[in-house]
Amino acid sequence: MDIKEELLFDFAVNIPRVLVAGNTTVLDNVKRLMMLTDTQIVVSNGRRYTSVKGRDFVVSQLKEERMLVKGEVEEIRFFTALQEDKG
Amino acid sequence: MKWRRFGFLRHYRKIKVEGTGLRGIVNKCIRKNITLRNIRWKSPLESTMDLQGDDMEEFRRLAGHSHRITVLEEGGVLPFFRNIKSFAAAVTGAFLIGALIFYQGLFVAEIRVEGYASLREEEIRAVLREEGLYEGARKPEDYGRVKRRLYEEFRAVTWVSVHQEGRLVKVSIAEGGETEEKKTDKSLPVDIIASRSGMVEKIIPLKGNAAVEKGDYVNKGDVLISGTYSYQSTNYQRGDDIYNMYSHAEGQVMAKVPRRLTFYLEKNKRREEATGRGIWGLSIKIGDLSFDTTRGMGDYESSRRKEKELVSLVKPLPFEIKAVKKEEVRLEESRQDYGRLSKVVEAAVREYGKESLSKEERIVSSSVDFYEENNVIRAEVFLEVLEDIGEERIIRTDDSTEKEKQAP
Repeated sequence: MDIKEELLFDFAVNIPRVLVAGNTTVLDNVKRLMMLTDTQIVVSNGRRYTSVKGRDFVVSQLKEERMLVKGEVEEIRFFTALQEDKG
Repeated sequence: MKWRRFGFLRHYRKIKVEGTGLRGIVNKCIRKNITLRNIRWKSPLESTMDLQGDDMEEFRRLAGHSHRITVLEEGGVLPFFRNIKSFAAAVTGAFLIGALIFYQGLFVAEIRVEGYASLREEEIRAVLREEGLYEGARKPEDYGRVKRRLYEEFRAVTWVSVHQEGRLVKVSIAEGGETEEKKTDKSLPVDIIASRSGMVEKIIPLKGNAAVEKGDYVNKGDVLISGTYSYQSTNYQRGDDIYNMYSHAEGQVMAKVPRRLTFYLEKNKRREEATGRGIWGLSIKIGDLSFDTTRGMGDYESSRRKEKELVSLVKPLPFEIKAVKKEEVRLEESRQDYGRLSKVVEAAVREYGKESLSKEERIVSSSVDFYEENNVIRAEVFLEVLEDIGEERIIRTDDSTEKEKQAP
């Protein structure tokens, strides 16, 4: 990564940032919770959305825009809102 | 607020939230910086989560009336202590048991004496008791005094170890064998000389020439049996000069040796006579604590105390109950009877003989003179002791290896 990418990674506050390690998933920049079940979590990161699908999800901590999720992750998707929804 | 970072450790609540729109509450919590933990989705209408105790009121306010909130359990340090407080009796009991276990650990429950051979366990235990080491006694911090006392008291003891294992004290003793008699080199020429002054009573020279005879008075250092022989040479080459030949003198010389002993005795004899008045009571001792019902009662000028042991336990804690009688006595003093004093002195002399004299030595005669001093009577004892006074002394010649030498 060049320095621009590094800065973008460290200081971006409105874009999704996800770290997955084994059964632990860290979702950063969580502005709003859109959906929470034991198989799917959807959060808004400001400009985009992050969707995590899997099994036996438990939000082990939700603090200061960071969400720690325990559970088996099967799929991670990022998407944006439709233009008509924004309006 | 400084405790906030320890919020969950301090106090947290596990709650059940029932109602629709869980995400609405969670989003409000994100906005208000309310930390949530362990959010579990159970069903569209039910979830559970943990939150800090301080945030509970705020959470209720955010949830409003559309959700039902039930506290499932509480955790953290504060509820722990609150629970402890509510079980004060249990805490007190636990504390007392802990204190009892700790307190009983301060006392000796058992003493094991090992390694003794010629000594008796009772006499070793008696010495230990005199030094304050007995079952039920408080554990001493240092066993050095006990060890020193054992060395002093028993000459046979060559090594002592006092080892503590919990409430058990192990006293290990090693005894040395009989001290070997000083072996002298039989090839060395020696004289038998007097180790003390005295009157020779019997002389048995096994090797060498007797230099004294029965009835002679000898001073310390006098030769008793000489290891020197003088002879006249019959050798043609050496001529007829007188030569000395030296040998290792051996033998026994028994002599009457005077000894003086001094004893001090009380001039007056005290006698206690009971007046018939007295009080009974109980003496209770638990560990270091003692209580005596007769203390402060029966303000007698002089009294004597009699005790009878009723209960005596060492485990789990030293515990004693004794029946105590404090009875008033009248003290009377009377002059000592010299006849009785003579018996006391004779007994002391016999004891001295047992302790200080060997099997072959004995007291031949004794006389006692009494002298009255301020408050005591001094008894001067003069003894005649029959003892072996012979001791070896190496004969120094110009060349000690030379066994034969021309006489000057």
